[in-house]
Amino acid sequence: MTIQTFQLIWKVAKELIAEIFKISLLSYLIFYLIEDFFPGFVSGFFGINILLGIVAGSGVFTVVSQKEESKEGEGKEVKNKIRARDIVFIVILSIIAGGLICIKTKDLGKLGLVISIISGIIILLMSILLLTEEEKNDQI
Amino acid sequence: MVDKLMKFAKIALWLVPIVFLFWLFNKNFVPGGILTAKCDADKCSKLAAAFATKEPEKIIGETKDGDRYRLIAHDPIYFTIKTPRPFAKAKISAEFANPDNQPVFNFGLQAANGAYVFKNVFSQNSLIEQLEKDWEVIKENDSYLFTRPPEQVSDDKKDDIEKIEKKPIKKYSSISDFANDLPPLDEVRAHNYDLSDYIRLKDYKPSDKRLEIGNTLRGPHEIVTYIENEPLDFKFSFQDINRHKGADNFSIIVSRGGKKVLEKKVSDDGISKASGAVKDLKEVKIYLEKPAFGAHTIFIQAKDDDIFIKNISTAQSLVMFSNHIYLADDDEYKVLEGVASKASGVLLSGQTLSARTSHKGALQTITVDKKPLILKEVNKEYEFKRNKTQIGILQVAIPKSDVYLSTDGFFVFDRRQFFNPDLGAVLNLGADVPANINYVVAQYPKLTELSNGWLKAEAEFSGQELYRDDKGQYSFILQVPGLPENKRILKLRKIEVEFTKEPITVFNLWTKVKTKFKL
Repeated sequence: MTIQTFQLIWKVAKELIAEIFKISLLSYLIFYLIEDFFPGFVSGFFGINILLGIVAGSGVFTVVSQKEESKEGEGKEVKNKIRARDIVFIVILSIIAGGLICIKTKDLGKLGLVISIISGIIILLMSILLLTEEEKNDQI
Repeated sequence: MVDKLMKFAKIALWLVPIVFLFWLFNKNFVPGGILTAKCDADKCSKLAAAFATKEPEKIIGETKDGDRYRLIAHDPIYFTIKTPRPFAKAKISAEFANPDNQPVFNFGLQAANGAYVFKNVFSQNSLIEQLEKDWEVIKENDSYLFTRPPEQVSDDKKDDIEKIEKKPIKKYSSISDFANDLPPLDEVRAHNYDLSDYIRLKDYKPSDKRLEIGNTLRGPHEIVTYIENEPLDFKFSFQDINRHKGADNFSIIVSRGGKKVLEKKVSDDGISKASGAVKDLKEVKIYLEKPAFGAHTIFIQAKDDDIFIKNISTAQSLVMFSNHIYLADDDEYKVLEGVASKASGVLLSGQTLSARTSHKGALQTITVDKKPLILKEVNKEYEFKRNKTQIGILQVAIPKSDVYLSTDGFFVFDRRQFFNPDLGAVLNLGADVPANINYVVAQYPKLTELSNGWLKAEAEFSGQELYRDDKGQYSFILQVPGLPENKRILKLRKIEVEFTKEPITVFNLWTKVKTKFKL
């Protein structure tokens, strides 16, 4: 096996495992959410912790391999700017998160509604803050 | 090329959770209508829980053929299954080896009251197994008909035997053939087999004349009649006296052996006030072209005593009134067309008779088998008990009518209308078969023999037997009585439950959604 072939396989494996991480993490979150609302829907037929194992394994591999890559690519300029699309996405996610909290705290009545609205706002502000921080860091 | 392959691989990876989600939907909604859960020696379905919890240790063995099994030494074996939705039927099966000849196996399912409904899947009976070897056998699923074989006699004894004429034993081609044309009951024994639905009244022939009962009767009544090779044909004439408030609609229910075969609703005459106004007679026909033979009960379920039966006309010749009769040919009810005071007479089969009246004008002396029974006060029960010399049907004479009579037997208006609705019974098989018994009919489920000495027991639960608790669980049990006491063991290879329900199709999907969400 030549070095080029090995490098190609390594690159493909890294990319695929990173993809597996994304897919398994998203799937885990969705299945966890479904399981929370409909107990037994997933766990009655499949051990959801298996998926968590895949998330952890692929996540560790992805982080380690990405670090190596970033070391190699140091000095390269990356330009991250907040776009309108990001804001819309964050708002939608905050609304969904607030809605979920509202459903889970509906037994508390009006207090539950207040908690969910505040939580939604906090999620929204924190997300914007994170993005703007990254942008500021980039500018420095 | 590599980029294309990568793209293809990524699409394939994204498809995995989507397919998996569809698989979960399929498992949860069971659109195909079948869901299976099982436990074997090493692992259990995620739906199953509490498997064999009475075993203190999980001991797993392996046969020389490589079959792994769970060693069972305690009774009973529990098995709980949580299903995502309710099912109409559940078939439970267990595969095991029975090295110590455990003789009894019962499957059970926990009912709503916490008790188990049991089904015997095997109960060893050495007499039945002996009959299987020695007598002629007709086997239909788990049902057996054993017929005594003709006696084998040696040639030198033949001459002596021929002098004694013995009735030949009738041969039947099937068990239903036998049940529908039963031999004399004293030649039959049964084992776990109910023949009561097949026993006929001896020498009964349908009548070609209609029977008319013209006595006026008040309120609900229960009529018992016998039918064989004839339609069930009753015509009732009703009238509503409207003395009580409320509508007087009611049902007439025909049942056989406790099971409803016909229900007819009779509507109110339109007067719901307690006005005492009376409308015209209402005729109601009860007709069944080809009812099953046997005793039928007709319940006239009038709510109160406003409904009067003015006439009963029937094609049946055997007609009896069960429990009570309320004779109402009295001036008290002269508002009803043609009703006037007159003496009545009935025949009584019961051991006791109670009589009461609600009106002063009907205080009287009733005679039961020529013995007086004096009604001195209204709304008070007066009782007659027959003595040892009073046998058979007794004559009851009621000079003024308007009397409610009750008994632990039956009332008839004519001796020829009486019959014993207890048509006889087949005795159960005992420890041996008496010489006069020529037939033994049995329900004898056996264990299915699989390869390499494994056995299979199965039972099915459906309808009201199938109770799913509020956690969505069905609790099964395999009862093996005497297993630990006799130090027997079972080698349990697999236990499986197959649940079935109506599959979801495009035709019934909307109906199901409407039912679920009460649209």
